[in-house]
Amino acid sequence: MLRLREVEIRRFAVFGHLVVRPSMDPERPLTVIRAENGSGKTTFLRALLWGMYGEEGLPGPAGRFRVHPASWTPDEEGIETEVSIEFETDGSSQHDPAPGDGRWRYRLKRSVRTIRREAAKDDEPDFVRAEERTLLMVRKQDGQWRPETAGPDAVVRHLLPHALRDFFVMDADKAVDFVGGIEAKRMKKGDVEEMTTFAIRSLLGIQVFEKAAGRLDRLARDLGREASKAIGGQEVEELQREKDRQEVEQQRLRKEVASEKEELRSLRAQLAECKEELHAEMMRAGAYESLVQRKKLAEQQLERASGRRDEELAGLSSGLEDSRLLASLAVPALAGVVDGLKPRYEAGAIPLRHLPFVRRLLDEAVCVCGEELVGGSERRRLVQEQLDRGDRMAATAGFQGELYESANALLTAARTPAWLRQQRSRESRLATANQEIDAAAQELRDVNGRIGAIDENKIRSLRDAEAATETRIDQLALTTGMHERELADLGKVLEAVSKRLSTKRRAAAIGHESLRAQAIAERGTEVLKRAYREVQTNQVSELSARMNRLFAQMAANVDAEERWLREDARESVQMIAQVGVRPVEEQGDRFEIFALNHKGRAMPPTEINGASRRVLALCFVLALCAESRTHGPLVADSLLNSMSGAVRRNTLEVTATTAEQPVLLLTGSDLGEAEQVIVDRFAGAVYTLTPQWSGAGGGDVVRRTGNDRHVTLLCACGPREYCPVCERVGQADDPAWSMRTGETDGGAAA
Amino acid sequence: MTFFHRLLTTKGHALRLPLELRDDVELYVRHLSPSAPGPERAPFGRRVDLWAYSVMTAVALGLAPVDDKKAVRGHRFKDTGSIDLSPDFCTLLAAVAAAGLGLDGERARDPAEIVKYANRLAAAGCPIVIERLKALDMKLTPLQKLQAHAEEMLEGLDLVSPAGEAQAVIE
Repeated sequence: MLRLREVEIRRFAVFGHLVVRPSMDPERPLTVIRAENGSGKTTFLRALLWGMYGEEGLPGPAGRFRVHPASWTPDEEGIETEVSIEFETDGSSQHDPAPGDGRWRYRLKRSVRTIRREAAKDDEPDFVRAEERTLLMVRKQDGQWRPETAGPDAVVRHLLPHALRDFFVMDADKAVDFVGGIEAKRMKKGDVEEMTTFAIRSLLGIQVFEKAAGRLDRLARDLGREASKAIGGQEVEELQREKDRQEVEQQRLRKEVASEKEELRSLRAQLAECKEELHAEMMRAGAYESLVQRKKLAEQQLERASGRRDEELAGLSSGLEDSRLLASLAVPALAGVVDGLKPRYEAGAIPLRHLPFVRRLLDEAVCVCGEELVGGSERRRLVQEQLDRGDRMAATAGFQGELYESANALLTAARTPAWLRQQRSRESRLATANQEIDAAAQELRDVNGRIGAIDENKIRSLRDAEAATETRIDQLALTTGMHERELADLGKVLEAVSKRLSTKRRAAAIGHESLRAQAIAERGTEVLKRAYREVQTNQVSELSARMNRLFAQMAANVDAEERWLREDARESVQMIAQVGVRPVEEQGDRFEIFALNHKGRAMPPTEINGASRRVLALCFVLALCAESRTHGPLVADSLLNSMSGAVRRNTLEVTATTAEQPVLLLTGSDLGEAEQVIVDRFAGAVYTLTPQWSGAGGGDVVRRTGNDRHVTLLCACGPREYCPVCERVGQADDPAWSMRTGETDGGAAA
Repeated sequence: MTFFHRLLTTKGHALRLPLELRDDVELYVRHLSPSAPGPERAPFGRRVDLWAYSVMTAVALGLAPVDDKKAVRGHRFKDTGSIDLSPDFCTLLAAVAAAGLGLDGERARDPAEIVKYANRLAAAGCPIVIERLKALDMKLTPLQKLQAHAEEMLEGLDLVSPAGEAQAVIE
């Protein structure tokens, strides 16, 4: 069993500092916290949830909920919020980490600093939470507090699983969702079923069987798959067939290669024989070697003679362009020129050689005869005339003189037989070269004839055989090489196939073991499933029975006492003859809460009024907690909303006596005289939350203040008590109220 | 470089061969392609060699130069400024021109006239040369035909004996 010992809250929303110590008295297990609407009942629940689960326990998006005091404006220094929860376990809860291991006390302390957010965007809050710390202390048997080594979250989530938080810290308005929601907000049937099913499975723990069966089933399937994969019968057969095929191919190739090699050996021997025979035959045919030598010599002679012939031909050709020949052919012209100019040349008329001499005479003014050639003299005039005429003739004479000398030289050369002797000599050499060419050609023809004569005989056939054998050997060597490579590749393939086959066969042996394990796992799964169905049926039956008993208690005496109830409401409660939980038709794995009338007909939620649905939901929660051995506290808000008369009284009493540690947050209107009797009888602790703010008004414990502070105070006043903390505002003149004496806050800090 | 070589080659003067014999001329002049006929079939290394031989053939045979207008219409294959002419051949051309045009005339000294006169002689001698080369004689190659032709002309000039011996006595 898990029980709250103390809840201390510092600077959380509307709370400044308060300490609540729920009742630990087994005879008086009820704790009542009286507070009007808006006084902080829901905030108290949220503080508790934040203390237990941190951010997860808060509503809305992460980081948006304002845990810091409402009257505080975030600043740079920030403000620290802290919730401390002290609780103890006795090992009886199914969620206890050490069941049956004696009584343990824990103190869970969670704190956080809220500071101003710099440059907050429009959609961001103006604060940010930082430095969140969680500390879980455990008090061992020696009475010393020490940090829990397993860590706070590990322990808290074991003892108070987050998924079940609504069963420990319950908002009754929310609990009504189990029966379809409040009047104003009806839920879909599927969602209700899902929520109910989740609660049943989680709290009863029957999902443990389901999970175990699922795990075993998965194991069986995995084993089956592994076995199939490992055994792989078809694959082994295919591999074996592949191996057989490859081996046959290997044998065939080996035979082929052996045959080819044998043929190669034979062919090479044949070739050697053929060459020997050819050589011998050629030797017999007559000095083949010398014939080859003669042929080579003749070819060389032919080449040399042809070269000489070409040279001589070129010489003869250039001889026809020789200037000596041309001069010889021009002899008539040359002779005419020479003959025509010779007298003049010999007379000194050409070229004119006397002109420089005459010019010097004139310059010296003395004639060759010694007479002076004075200016104006007849002789000088004559000499000058001769000189002028000579200048005009000089060009022609010079040309003629040049022509005469050159033509005479050419004519002399032209009349010599040098050109003809040269041509004759060339013709002679050409003839020699032609003879040599003819001789060499004749020799070549002769040698080739002899060699050809040899080829025509047996040698030709031998050479043909030699060539054919060589070709065949080349082809065969190529084929054999290719086949040998194929054989090598095939050997590798065979090796790989054999290895895979061997591996597969070993795996098959393991696979058979897996098959046996699979069969065992399947049997185990079946057993677990049967057990699961059995447990589920039994537990749900017991849950229904408990629900039914609780409902009967809560709805007792309605007929006699509730005359003032509306007719339809009274009828609604009276008509319900049986309640419980049952599997949804055709969906055995889902559950729904049902209510039957006296005729055994199911009553749909629309026929059940709000109070009845609330009672029904509460019965479900209480029964489920009891059946599940959760053994935890029940911190409930709005439990008695919409209830009155006997139902309200019965519900309060049943809750007080059924729940392990009920902590109920109630309004003053929930606590009539009859309820006060129950509180007096079962409550081990009573508190009053008093809100105070400037605009406050109404309610029985609301303080008006002169400032803007919005803080809720806590005191230990009971339903009809007041003290200096809570004062009496609404009921100042009511004689039913009395001043409480003793501690002002009952031990709780205000 | 001699006087006449300079005279004829300082400036280019057109060398011409008869237009109607152009294809035949190409037949007997060697070309550079490897498959072209060698000296036996194409005895002349260049067109100018055939031209020179034709000029001298006309001189040797005493042929009259063809009409000037006809010679001018001939195929101009080269000019003297862009071809390698030997100095002796230039002298020969000058002598041939002087003999034909007159020793004292101004024309004999004019290189253009000299070349023009030689073209007229070439036009006269070229048909003879081509005819001889084309003569039907299966035993002789064109080279041999030309050699025989040259010897015959020399024989006609009394420069060789009928037996083909050189006339040393001339000297």
